[in-house]
Amino acid sequence: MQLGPRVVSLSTKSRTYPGWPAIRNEPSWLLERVRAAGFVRETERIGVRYIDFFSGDVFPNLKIGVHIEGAPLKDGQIDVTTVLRFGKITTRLQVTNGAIVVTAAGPEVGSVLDIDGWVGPNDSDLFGHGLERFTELHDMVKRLFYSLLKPDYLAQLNPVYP
Amino acid sequence: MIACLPPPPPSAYRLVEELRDPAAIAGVHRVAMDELESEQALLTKLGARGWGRIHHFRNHYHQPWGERNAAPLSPRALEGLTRFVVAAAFAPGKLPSVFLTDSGGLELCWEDERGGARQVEFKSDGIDYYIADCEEEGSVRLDNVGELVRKFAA
Repeated sequence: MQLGPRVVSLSTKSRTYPGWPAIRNEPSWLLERVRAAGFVRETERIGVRYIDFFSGDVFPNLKIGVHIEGAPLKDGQIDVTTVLRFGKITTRLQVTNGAIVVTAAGPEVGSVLDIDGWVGPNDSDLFGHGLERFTELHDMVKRLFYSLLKPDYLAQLNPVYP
Repeated sequence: MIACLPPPPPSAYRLVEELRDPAAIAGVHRVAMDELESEQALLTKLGARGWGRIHHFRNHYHQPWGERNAAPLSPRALEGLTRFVVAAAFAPGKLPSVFLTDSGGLELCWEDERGGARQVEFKSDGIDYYIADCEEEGSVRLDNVGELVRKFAA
């Protein structure tokens, strides 16, 4: 759990994401304690963010990319950031093929697909419907993630659908 | 003999320089990724000064402020004001003024084409409005900005 000015967040440790079913109830525990602490006047946003690391350059395996005169830009560092809106949910999508992740096995160069989804102040009643919002946000981020990967690449990742 | 005049008494109110001069926030501002449309509307419809004041309020009023410990800026009030400004039309040459209220709300004041005063206060739990021409005042919910815009356009 991370606590800072205007932010409370709950995050998993790197490479230990247990899957949504295992963590969907964790916000409930957190919300109860934040409510009991009594320091939140108003909610500015409720968000869910997934940061996924891929070995190598992920752009050839994505449905989005950077093109020059119709041809995909290759062999260089590319960073793409954009915002997509889905009703009351806003998502910021960031992709880079210039990331380095450091693990116990050592540093590894690759790509990051970072999807941050949130609802704004007037759709963020944290103690009223906060848990429902977390689920909605998770579902939206998940749909966006899967929609970005090319089918043949997705198949290589052997996804397991609960 | 050298006579020194006493220093002038301090003003009862002091205008913070950053609010007076848009140059105080000069520089390149990268717009937050989802806010280009709303920032453009705030700049176009409130002018550089109005936009600058909102910029100042949202970045420097997250804690209780002033001698009376006034409430910090309400994110809901800011979102309500932003939605309103994006959708509303103001008479040419009648730039609205923006104020931060003691309760953390935002107040927008301007004149219509005939010089009649119009006032809207965006609060964390709703919107209050006043139209001097027809002596009308009332309240709407924060998610009912569209109704408010239609009322002011009528």
